[in-house]
Amino acid sequence: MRIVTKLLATAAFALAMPALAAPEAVEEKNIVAGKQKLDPASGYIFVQANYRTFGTFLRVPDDSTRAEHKKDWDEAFAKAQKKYPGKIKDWEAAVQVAKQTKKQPPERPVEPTPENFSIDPIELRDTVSFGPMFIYSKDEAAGRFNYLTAVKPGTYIYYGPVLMQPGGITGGICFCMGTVRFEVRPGVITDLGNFLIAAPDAVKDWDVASADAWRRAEEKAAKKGEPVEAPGAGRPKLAYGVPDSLKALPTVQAEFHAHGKLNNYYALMFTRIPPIPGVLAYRRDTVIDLRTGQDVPNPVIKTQVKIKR
Amino acid sequence: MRSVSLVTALAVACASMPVTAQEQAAPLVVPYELPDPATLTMPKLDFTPTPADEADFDKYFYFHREGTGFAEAYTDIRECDALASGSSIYLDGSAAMAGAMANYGVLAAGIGSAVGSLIADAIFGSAARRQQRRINLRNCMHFKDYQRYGITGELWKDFNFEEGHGRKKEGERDDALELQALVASGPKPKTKELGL
Repeated sequence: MRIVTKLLATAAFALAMPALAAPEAVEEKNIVAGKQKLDPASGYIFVQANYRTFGTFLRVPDDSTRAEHKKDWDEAFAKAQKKYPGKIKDWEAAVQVAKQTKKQPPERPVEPTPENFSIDPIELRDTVSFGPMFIYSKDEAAGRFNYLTAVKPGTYIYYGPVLMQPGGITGGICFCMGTVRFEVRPGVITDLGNFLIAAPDAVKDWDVASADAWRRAEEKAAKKGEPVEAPGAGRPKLAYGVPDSLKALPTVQAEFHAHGKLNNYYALMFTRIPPIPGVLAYRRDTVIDLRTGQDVPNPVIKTQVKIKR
Repeated sequence: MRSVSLVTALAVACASMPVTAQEQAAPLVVPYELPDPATLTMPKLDFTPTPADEADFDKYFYFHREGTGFAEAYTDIRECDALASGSSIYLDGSAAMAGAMANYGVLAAGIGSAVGSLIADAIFGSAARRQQRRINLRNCMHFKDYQRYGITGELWKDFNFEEGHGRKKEGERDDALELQALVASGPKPKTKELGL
């Protein structure tokens, strides 16, 4: 009973901490009430959509992130090395027990070395996600939903429509095989508009999910004897612009550039962003930067999973 | 079966790093085992499909691309396997946790994990993971221009494996991936192309 109470208390405590789910979201009501202020030292990512939406960005590690990651790596490595003799002792004891009980002895623990030791991927250090809750402002009648997120200035890669929560509950689709990146400067609102939804080409049967959706739509239309809408028929037009309540800071439209493959860090379903005129195209699995006409470097993705011998 | 010749591949260890990081990190040379296709035996692919077989072609399939050599096919298959496996579900849990801690603080990570992992396990079972893997492989190989062909479940098992929550042993995985590359770079199948 006591355990149940404790669990319930923990769950209730977790639910009572909404700020944890979107710690960097800015809301218009708070700006108007003076509870939140736009900070000229911070960067801001503004997104609009005609429905509630969500997404995740990975910030390209800079010198400070690298230094911090190295410090954490050094500390964790030293700790692992310190623990290793104890693990060997435990293993030796377990081997003795296995001998006595005539069972298979456990495998000897692997000594941590700089080559086999790792901590969390540096690419995930400054991950930013937005939506579907903690909206900046909305006008449901006009079909307009705005999201504003205060972020560290830097370069951000769109990881895809991925919903991220603290503690690793992650869902959505990774654009692991091709996406876009953009710069976020301090003291400026970087307006992504609805680019991520409206700019990519509408390609029929782009991936398995879209092919299944098309097949279902065609079957449904055939039953009713109606034609199927053309790809992209319901897609919004490209739009930018921020609400008046954000005029305190200058706004700049995001400049999108093609970006190559990313690892599937959260083990999600993955695809790639469809081609974007003037920005991104593909030749097989090579991403082409249409701003330069050059191929984006395309090194082979290697697994980072724990190997089972 | 696994007589391998050792070759090296450049810059694969930092493959997932974003552009800036890639430019700044020194390219690493890591051992990359390329099997000798002459030591492999082509799996049986001939069969007469029944309607029941065809109904399962979203589950049991293989890939092929014309004009593709074994080494290229093997690299493509390994990459799609790496992407389809993801990188966090089989890790010790420390990566996802450390990421959450870095972004949201220790308390959030602890609470999120305690409540969240129970919910995630409950709603996302092993069957869903297996299906996700199949869809990811189809997307990945399609983007690389490989064609997909159906096969019976019995024949499929000879050179494929399924993975849900757990990871198969590396030897078993390697053997299957090698044969998949042999098939993908072998003679063009005479059966129907399934497309994506």
